[in-house]
Amino acid sequence: MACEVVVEQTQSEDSPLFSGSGSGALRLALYAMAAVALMVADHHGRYLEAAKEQLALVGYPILRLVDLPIRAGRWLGQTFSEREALSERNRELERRWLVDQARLNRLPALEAENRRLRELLESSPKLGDRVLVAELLDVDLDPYSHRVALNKGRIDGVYPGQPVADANGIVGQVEYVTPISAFAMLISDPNHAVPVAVNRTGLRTIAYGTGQIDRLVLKDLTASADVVEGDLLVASGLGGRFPSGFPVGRVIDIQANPGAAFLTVVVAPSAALNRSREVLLVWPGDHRDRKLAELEGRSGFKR
Amino acid sequence: MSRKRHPPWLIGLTFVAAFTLTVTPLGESLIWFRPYWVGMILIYWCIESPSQVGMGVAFVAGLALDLTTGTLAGQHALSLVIIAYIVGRFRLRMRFFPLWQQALAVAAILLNDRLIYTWVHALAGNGVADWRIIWAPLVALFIWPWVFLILDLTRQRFRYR
Repeated sequence: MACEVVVEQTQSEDSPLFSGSGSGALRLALYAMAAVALMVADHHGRYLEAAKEQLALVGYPILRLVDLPIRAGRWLGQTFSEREALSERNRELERRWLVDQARLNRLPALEAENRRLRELLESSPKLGDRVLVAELLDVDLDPYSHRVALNKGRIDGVYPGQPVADANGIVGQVEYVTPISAFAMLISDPNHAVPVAVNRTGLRTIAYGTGQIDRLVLKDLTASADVVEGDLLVASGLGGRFPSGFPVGRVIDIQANPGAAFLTVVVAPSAALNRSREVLLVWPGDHRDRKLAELEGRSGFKR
Repeated sequence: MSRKRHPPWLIGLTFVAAFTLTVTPLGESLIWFRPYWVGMILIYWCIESPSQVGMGVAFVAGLALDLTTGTLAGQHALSLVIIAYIVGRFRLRMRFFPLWQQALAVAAILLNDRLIYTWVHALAGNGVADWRIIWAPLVALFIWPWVFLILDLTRQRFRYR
């Protein structure tokens, strides 16, 4: 017995500087294979979604722990900020509210008109989108991708693929949810693409993320496409994920390389991707709206 | 031959601290300078307490990190398992390195890890390599001596006798 123990210790602790580790390499191979299998399963299929939904809860307390003092600091800052600054801000907001209110007052008339026109087109009426305000957790995730964590989850009705917007435009889409939180991918992630239409002409294309927070790019427009600097891009509604009409970005630069068949169009996102603290989770009102978007897109091409 | 045992809660706590530092917001400009905290803590425990922390712990910690930061499940697990394996092989030498030399070794391991990580990332179709990945191992090079000393003091205070 004693002999055996000594032998074991010699192997594990007292081995020479080059520890012979055949079993170590084997275990490395096994663990590596397990990790790769997980990655493949997660990347290709959606086999892991249900398990991930529950397991991802383990990370949430840590995200909360980091988020909390920052939030508390901001709250303290607000509480003790100067009365003058607050009342100035209040005045400013009231002014803006007045302007917005005046614009909103015209909305019922426009909605009624829109409904009538849609009836003429024999398309289903567009219902209002339902929205829910969610807060971004103040945490950094992976520097390789543009992701954010939200404080709303499955119990609030959030679902994977759900569009996320802010007051100015589309922010991104929900990637996966846990019961009480969600991870969303921003439209600037290099893996993300939004179907868009040029608002002025109805020309449809796709806006890809670049990995830079303030840049999107259009790569599929031919050199003769009608697009100019300052054009507003809105979600086209094709693909059925993003509700049509939400602003996506504005064209800020068009690079036409002689000899290249396609333009490289640089777009600045409308949404404040790196500044918003609160975002809207959108439940698109009507999925059948796609048909109309397509019609509009086609008429745009003819023009 | 005394086999050193450390309270599991202490090991767990250092990992929680590393997770916390990993997600603490730094701001847009500093994001590439954040050292691989979880990797560094793992290296430390692999050197000091190999009977308790090895590839198994690395795998579990990596999965937890994937779930916390929303990356592809298995991505950090692979990265940490490879780190644990390398440290396991060179542990007896790394233990007796002077601190600055140990820091160099740690930085080299972490740079190797970033290269593998970036490669896996590229295989998954998530964009191309970015030269800024070298910053995190460089930062790790300079803070490793301090991390090591702080952890060593804490560890010796709580070691089982």
